[in-house]
Amino acid sequence: MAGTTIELQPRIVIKCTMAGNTGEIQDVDGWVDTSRYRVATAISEVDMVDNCELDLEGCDVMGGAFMTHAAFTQALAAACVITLNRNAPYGAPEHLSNLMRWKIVASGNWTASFRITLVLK
Amino acid sequence: MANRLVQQLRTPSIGKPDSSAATGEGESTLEALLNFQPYLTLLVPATITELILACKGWIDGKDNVAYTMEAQVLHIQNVTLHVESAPDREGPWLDAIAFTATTKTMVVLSSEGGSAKFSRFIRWRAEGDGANPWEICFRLKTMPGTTLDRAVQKPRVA
Repeated sequence: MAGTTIELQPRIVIKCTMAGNTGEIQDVDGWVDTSRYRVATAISEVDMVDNCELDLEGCDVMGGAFMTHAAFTQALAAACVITLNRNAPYGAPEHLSNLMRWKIVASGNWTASFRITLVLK
Repeated sequence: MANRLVQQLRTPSIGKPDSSAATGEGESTLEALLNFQPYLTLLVPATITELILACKGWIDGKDNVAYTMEAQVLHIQNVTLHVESAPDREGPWLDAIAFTATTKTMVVLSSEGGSAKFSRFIRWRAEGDGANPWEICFRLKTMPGTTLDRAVQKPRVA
């Protein structure tokens, strides 16, 4: 698969039993700037999502509203591959934004294990 | 080429330290919050009673008098997480702060007083209870100095 490959998130396991925790958002230093690219292929390997939802999100400006490209509520037997395109209408899930990150939405005790790779062209 | 948003905040890992960031050299702004330990989940049998951050990941804060640390412990069971400081790599390592319950907190490790003592080196150590399997999921961020230091703009000397 040609293009620039970057790990949006190397494989990670997060387990949370903290009372009142409603999830986690990827640290801003881990967000990927995709503004120079026309097409992105996001490959999500989701080993576990227990009592939570893993979202792959994009946004065009820092501080702006994020749109959800993909949401995972259960583990995947095979990697999920989605293609995002700059030319897709703004607001559509397949629209490639300028920034990409992951977010976990949860309630109660939760566990997530995943890895997300981006191929950018 | 794909760009991370803030290049200077690349995460030092245990096996591949970012020495300039870990020593607090260079930029010292609020944005320089260093991901000292990215999210780490440990599921450990009872036979292993202690795990210590590899020495390559230790912070050497020889030029600083304080560190602000943001600790997030999402899950902890049958283990105590110690954040330790020592004047030398060989020790003695003393607790700056210890965690036995889930928390998200900000503490100042200072060599100028306070309960969280900072000398020079900083590391973490997880100590199981010795009888049961133990689990922990946590991350630690640090910043040289205190938030108060950073909030006050200091005039530059020409």
